[in-house]
Amino acid sequence: MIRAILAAALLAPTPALAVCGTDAGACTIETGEYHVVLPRGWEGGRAVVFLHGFGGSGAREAQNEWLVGGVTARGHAFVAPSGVPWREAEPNPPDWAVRDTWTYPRDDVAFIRAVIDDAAERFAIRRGEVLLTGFSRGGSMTWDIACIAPDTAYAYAPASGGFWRPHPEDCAGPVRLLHGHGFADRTVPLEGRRILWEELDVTQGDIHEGLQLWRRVNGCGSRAGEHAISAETWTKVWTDCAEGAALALVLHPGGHGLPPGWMGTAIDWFEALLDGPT
Amino acid sequence: MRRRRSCTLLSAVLALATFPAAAQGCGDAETPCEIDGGHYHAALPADGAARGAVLFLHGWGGTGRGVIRNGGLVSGFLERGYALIAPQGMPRREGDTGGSWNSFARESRRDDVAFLDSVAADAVARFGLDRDNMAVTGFSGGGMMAWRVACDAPATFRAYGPIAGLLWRPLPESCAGPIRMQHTHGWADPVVPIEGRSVAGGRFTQGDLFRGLDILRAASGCVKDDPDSYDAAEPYLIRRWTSCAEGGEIEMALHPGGHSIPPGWSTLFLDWYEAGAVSAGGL
Repeated sequence: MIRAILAAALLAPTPALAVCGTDAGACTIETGEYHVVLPRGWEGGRAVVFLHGFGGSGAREAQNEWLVGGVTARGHAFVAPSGVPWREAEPNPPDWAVRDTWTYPRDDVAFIRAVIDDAAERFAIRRGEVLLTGFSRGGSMTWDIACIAPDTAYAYAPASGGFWRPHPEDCAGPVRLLHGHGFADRTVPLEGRRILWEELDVTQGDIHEGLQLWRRVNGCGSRAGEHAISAETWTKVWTDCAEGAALALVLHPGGHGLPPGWMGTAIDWFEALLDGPT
Repeated sequence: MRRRRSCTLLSAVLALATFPAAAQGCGDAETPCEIDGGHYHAALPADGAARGAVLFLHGWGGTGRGVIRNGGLVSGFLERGYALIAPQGMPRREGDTGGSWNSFARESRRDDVAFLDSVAADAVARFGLDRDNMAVTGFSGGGMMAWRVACDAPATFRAYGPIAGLLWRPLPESCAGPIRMQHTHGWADPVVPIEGRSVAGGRFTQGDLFRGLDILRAASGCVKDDPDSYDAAEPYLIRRWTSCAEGGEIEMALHPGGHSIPPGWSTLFLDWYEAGAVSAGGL
């Protein structure tokens, strides 16, 4: 299998190879589907799993060259699971089973774990070297997975979404987490917002309050040890966290969108954690 | 009775207005104005008639004298027509040349909410200022004191402008009423981080700014937790809550620096003060 993929990769005119992409069809597991794009010359290695926002799909993300290229150019596999609509009749947009008091049709903590396990086996992804990232509701799902099942990924890089109300009182264990957010995000404001949509009545949580919980779970002090400011991002890194834990925040002055250069920032951070500072 | 009183007031104001500030006999760096419980310094605009007044509270171990000698800070207010008043915190121990504010509201120390009210009353009488058009600002420990007055007795001043200072833990459950506050803070502040920190070997812990803003929004009757508007006015990132009860208005300005008063801060503060706090009050 790997040899066949390798051969195809060597022949491929494009730098990256969609194995379970729109052409090849989705990779399916019992509880859902996902898409994968491998870098050219793939012989196994690390993966970045990206959870789409509300109404998105893994198929669409696998075609997002900016996003995918940012991962495969660094030599990592890009894995994009798909959410499911929460109502089968009159299907509504695909979404994730974020902990927000609403009842969803699938346990997405279990689903994402199953996707990573399946992809690891099929594509020789090193199971212990996975970065889980996501945008908006996908960012919230990333926070939930990090909190409920911290051993799902090696590190977490959610953006533009955090806990929903009611916030968890505690998490299962320390994690490595880098959060990105737009300072002027009106869709998912840093303080959170109540959403009334059809029969839904749910409320986004507060990012700073969530970070307080992460500091406690990770054993970090409140004062960040490192700060970096550029024209595009304001960063804080808490450097005194417990062994095996990490916490950082990247704000950008914009709205509901990934921070500029987000994938590169997240992968730099992920690689530095795995390999040590270069 | 009412008429006679306002005539008396008016003539008192006119009488005062005819004298330049120096003629009041106190206020400059060498001559503090003494009142019960302490003293303060003051600087007035060149023509003597101030359109408003701003109290600026020094940081931990600082002095009002140091504030009034800070030419850049003082001129920023004087040039806009505001008087700058620099009260002195209590000595931290005997023989201390600097001082600190009782932002914990400890009974063993001076009641600084009352002291600042007395400073304001004295300055009004002495310099012919408008008591309804006064704000309390301050840096670091002085910012913490500004939060304390704002939270415990919000109606004491028209508005509050703390820099790099926030409430201590345990945070109050609530504040006494709607508050107009512009809070300014350095993103990279290591002394009073936005998230707070423990000091004095863990005996005291600074609160978290965002939690403090939650409390302000609740006390100010703001209709929602996320801001009504945002601004990126170089070098600041700003969020504003304006859909609040009467007398409530909150702005947070982050600057990229550390534990400092950002250059040009008085412009940031006065622009906000004049646009919101003053016009809202019909001043």
